[in-house]
Amino acid sequence: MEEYVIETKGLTVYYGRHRGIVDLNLQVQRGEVYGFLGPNGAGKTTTQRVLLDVIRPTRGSATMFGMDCQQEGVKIREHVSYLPGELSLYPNMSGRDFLRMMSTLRGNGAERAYRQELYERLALDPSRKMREYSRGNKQKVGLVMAFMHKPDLLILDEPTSGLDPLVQQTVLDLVRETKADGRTVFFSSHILSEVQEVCDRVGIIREGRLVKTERVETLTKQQFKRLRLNLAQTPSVDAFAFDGVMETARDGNEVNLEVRQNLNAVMETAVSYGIIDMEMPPVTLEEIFLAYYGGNGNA
Amino acid sequence: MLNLLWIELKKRGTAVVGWGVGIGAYLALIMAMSPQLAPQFANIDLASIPIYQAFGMNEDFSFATIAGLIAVYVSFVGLTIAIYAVLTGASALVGEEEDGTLEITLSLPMPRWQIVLTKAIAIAISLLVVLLIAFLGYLTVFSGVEADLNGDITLSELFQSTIESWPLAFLFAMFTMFMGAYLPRRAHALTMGLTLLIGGYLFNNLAEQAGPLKDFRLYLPFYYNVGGRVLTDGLDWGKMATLTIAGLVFLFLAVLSFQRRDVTVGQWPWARLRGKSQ
Repeated sequence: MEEYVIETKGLTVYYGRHRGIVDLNLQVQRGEVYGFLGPNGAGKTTTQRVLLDVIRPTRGSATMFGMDCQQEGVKIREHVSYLPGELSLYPNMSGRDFLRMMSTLRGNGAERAYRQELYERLALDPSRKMREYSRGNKQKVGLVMAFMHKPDLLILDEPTSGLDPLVQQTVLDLVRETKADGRTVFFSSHILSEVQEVCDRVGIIREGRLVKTERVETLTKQQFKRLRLNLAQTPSVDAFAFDGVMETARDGNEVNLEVRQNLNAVMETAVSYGIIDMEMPPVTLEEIFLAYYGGNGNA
Repeated sequence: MLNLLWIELKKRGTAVVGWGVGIGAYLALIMAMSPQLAPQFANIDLASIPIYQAFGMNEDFSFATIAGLIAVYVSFVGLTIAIYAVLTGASALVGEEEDGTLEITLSLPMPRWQIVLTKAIAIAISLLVVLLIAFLGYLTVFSGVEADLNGDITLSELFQSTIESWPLAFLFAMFTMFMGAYLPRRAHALTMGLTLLIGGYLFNNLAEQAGPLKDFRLYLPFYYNVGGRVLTDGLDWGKMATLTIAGLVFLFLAVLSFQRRDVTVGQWPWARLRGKSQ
C-alpha cells in the first residue's frame, strides 16, 4: 500500500532557460484536501501538468498512487480527474455531448444520475453549445467533467474561477463531500479564503519552490497572534517594545499588537496596566500568504 | 480507441462534407460544361504555354476532347484534397494543443501513441470520405455526358482516378501531423506542409519540362500521383504504395515526436534539450 497519493522528489522543470519548478518535494496523503497556493507563474500549473504527464520533468521524480507518472501514466489517470486552469472546450459541442464524450472516452461510465445531480447543483443547462456559454458556465462544464466519475484523486486548478459566490460554495461543498468519501483533492488556487475553508494542509509555492507545507490551522496559529487589549491605564509608548512584538495601532487605552515572540512578557505587561478586555482576532491565510510573498519568503 | 476514433470522425464531419461537396460540385460543373467547352479548345495548343506546364499540363492532356478536358480537371482533385490534408494534419495535434483541448485528452487514461494513431486513422478515413463524396458529386452529371464520351472514360476509370489521390493526401496529412508533433506551433506545421505541397507541385511539373531536374522528381510526392492519367493508363499500384508507405513513415515519426513532446509548452526541439541541461 503506497504511503502518499502524490509524491514528488526533487522535481524540477525548466522551459529552455526559464524556470518552471525547482526541487519540489511534495507529499499528498490519501483522503486529504491539499491546497496548493501561489501567485500566477509560481509553478502550480507546471506541477499539475507533470503529474498528468502532459509535460516531462527536467529532473526529479513524481509518483501518484505509488506509480511513476511517466512510466505508468495511463494506469494513474484511470484514478484521476483533472480540471485545467485554462479550460478550452469544443465550441460546436453542447455541454451534454461533451460530457458524454468524456464519459465514453474514460470508459468507466459516470453515473447518469450523479451527472444529472451535478447539473442541478451547479445550475448548468447542458443543452447549450459551448460557444454560447459564459465563462462561468464553461467552468461548470469543466467541474461536472472533473467530479462526475467520482475519481480517487481530483486535481483542480482554480476550480471556482469565474463562478458566482453561490456556485463557489457548491463547489466547496463538493470538495468536502469528496473528502468525506475518503478521496483526495489537490486544490490549486490563489483564493486564500476558500483554501482556508476546505483544505487540510496547504503548500505554498513561490518562484517554483515549495516554501512551506503545513496544516492550515497550524499555519494560521504558528505565524503570529494578534492581540487587541483594552487596558485600565494608558501604557507607555515603549511598554510593549519586546523582540517579536509589533504595535500595529493604539487608541487611548486600546492597543493592537502582533506577537511572534515574548507572549509571556506581553501578558505580564498588560496585567500591570490592568486588562479590561482582550480579544485575539483570527489571522487569515491571506495575511500569512502576503507575509510569504511580500517579503523575502521567510515569514 | 474505437470511442476516440468515432469522436474524431464526428469532429471532422462538417469539414469532410464541405470539402467533398465542394470538390464534387466543381468537377460536376466542369463535366456539365465540357461538351460545350471542348470544341472551343480544339485549335488552341494550351499545353505549350508555360503556365499550363507549371500546372502539369503537357502533350498527354488534350483540352480539345470532352474526355481530355475531364482528365485535366480530375488531375486537380489530388492537389485540392492535399490542401485539405495539410489543414487537417496541422489541426490534429499542435492545433488542438493551441486550442487547449489536447490537455484534456491527455488527462484521460490513454497512451499517447494511441491518441496519435487514432487521429491518423480518423484523418485517413475522412480523406477517403471526402473523395467518395466528391465522386458522388460528379457522378450526378456523368450520365449526362456519358454518351458524348464514346467510351473514352468509363465510370470505373473515373472512380479510380478519384481514389488514386488518397495516398497522396494521406502522405501530406501525415507529414503535416508529424511537423505538428515536432515543431512548436500550428503555423510552423502549416508552413512546412504547404511548402512541400505547393513547392513540390510546381517543382515536379516544371522539372518534367527541364531535362536536368527530371531525376529530382523521384523525391517529390506529386511524381507518384498519376492524376488524370489514370483515365488512360489505369492505376499505378506501385506509386500508390510508395506514397502510402511514405505516409506511414511520417506517422511513425509523429508518434515518436509526440511521445517526447512537452504539450502546452510550445518549444522548439532544441529549447527542450537546453532545458534538460539546466
